[in-house]
Amino acid sequence: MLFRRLDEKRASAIITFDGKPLAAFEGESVAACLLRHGVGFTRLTPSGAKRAPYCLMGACFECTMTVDGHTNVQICLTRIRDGMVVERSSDI
Amino acid sequence: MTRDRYDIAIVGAGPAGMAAAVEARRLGLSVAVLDDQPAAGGQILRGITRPMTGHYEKWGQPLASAFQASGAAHLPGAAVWAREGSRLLYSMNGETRSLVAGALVLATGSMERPAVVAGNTLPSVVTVGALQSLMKGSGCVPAGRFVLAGNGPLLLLCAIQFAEAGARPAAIIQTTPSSRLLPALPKAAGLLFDPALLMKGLGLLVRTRSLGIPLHAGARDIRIDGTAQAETIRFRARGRTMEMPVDLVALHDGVVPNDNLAVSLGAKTTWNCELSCYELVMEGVTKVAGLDNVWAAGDSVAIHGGYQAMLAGRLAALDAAHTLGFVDAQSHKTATAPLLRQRRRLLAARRFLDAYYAPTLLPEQAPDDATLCRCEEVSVGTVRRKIAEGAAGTRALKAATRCGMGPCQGRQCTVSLASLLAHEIPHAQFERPSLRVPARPITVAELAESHLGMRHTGSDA
Repeated sequence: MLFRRLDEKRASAIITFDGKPLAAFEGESVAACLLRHGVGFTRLTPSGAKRAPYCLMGACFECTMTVDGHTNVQICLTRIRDGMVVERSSDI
Repeated sequence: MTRDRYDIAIVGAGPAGMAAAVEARRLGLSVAVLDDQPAAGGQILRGITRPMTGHYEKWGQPLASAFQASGAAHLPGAAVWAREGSRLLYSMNGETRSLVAGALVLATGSMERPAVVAGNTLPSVVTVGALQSLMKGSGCVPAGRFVLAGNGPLLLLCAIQFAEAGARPAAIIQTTPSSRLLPALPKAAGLLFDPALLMKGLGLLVRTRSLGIPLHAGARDIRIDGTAQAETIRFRARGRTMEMPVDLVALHDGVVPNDNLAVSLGAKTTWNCELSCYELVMEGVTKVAGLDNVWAAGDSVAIHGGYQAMLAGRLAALDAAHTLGFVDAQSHKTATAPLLRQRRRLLAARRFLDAYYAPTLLPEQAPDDATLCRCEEVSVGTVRRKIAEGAAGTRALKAATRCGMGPCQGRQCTVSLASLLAHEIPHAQFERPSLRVPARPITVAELAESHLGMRHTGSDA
């Protein structure tokens, strides 16, 4: 894994990514959660290249995903909510 | 309960925005602070209202506490995308809302300068600021073998913060050329006006040594390779080529103003050749030239750092309050004079930092296969070729290459585009390519539901 939590607390929420449950923590961003779980990429470019979160502050738009049915959500600016459903955009 | 009418709206809840809010409230104005981040603090003070690490500037906590107690309405997760008259439109949880404010203060801070190196778009290549954001905002640190590469004071500062949190970088690959120190030294006298900054810089070097983080100085020609993610980083240092296996690379090359919102509202910018970035054209210290009742403060105007941003935020609030008639001329002068004096003194110290840490990962130093525009996948080579074929201005280049037409709306490539152009054609046309409404991408469905775009009132939408 590329990332780990600083604390050893138990997960306080569950989100669904591509149909699978991921342990999550209230307060962390969706991007942090996916990175911790080793989700390798968040979107494909028009030419098919894989891209992953890059700036983590809302400026690069590499982390845009579909969250609870809303398309093109910047997941670095979105906090975890229990039960959230996260998917890669449907056009890939 | 948030209202929809305020004396002043502030965009950004970093040092400038929080300080502006506190000052405006003190002067009796009703204040709304809209911020696209999920919590107050901006970048430098990210997570300060719920600290997970102890790494904050000592002025940060008092400022954040004052902000929380100020009575300003704080709207986190609010991305402002247009201004129609005195009405601001913003997107929040996929829905557009609006509020009316007589004055607007832009405190949108800075963003990291795009690092143009080969391999910069591979997954597991991030910015140093991104790692700091993950640590301070989400309590999350790198677990694999990672390196920090690039230039600027943030490199050492973050390496130390990660190491102290138990995530020691495998190396710092520093691209600041050692040949810069001598020419920058005449400007170092200004550091004496900011001894805290000088001591902080020296302290960082000492601490990096004592933590045993390998430091490769004077590195150049950085190249990252891998298939599904970054796997190796190569660079030249001390006359030889080094190659290291990595799981993650964090790049940094200083910061530039995050001014997209200002520009989309119609603010003018000029290209600063020395600093290789655009700067907002201002009237005086805080008023945005040419825009009625719009002020700006902090790093969104010019990169002066967090403490200076706090001073500028207070100045912007005082200037706005004076224009709106909340403060008379004499009180305004009495309150602003000491802030302006302190600002001038501290600015002298920036000159050394600007010269010594001038950018190093610019597209002009990158090979043809490095990506310049991430969204539209335009390589440095393509832009070079279009310049050679006659695209002699930023707008012509945008049209010829599609740089800046993707979802990030030029946030990641406009500065690189102008910088490469300046290198190839020093007297080119640097006028900033237009940014149009919406200042943030929103879906057509959201726009339609809002009934507010394009001055529709709803009845005929």
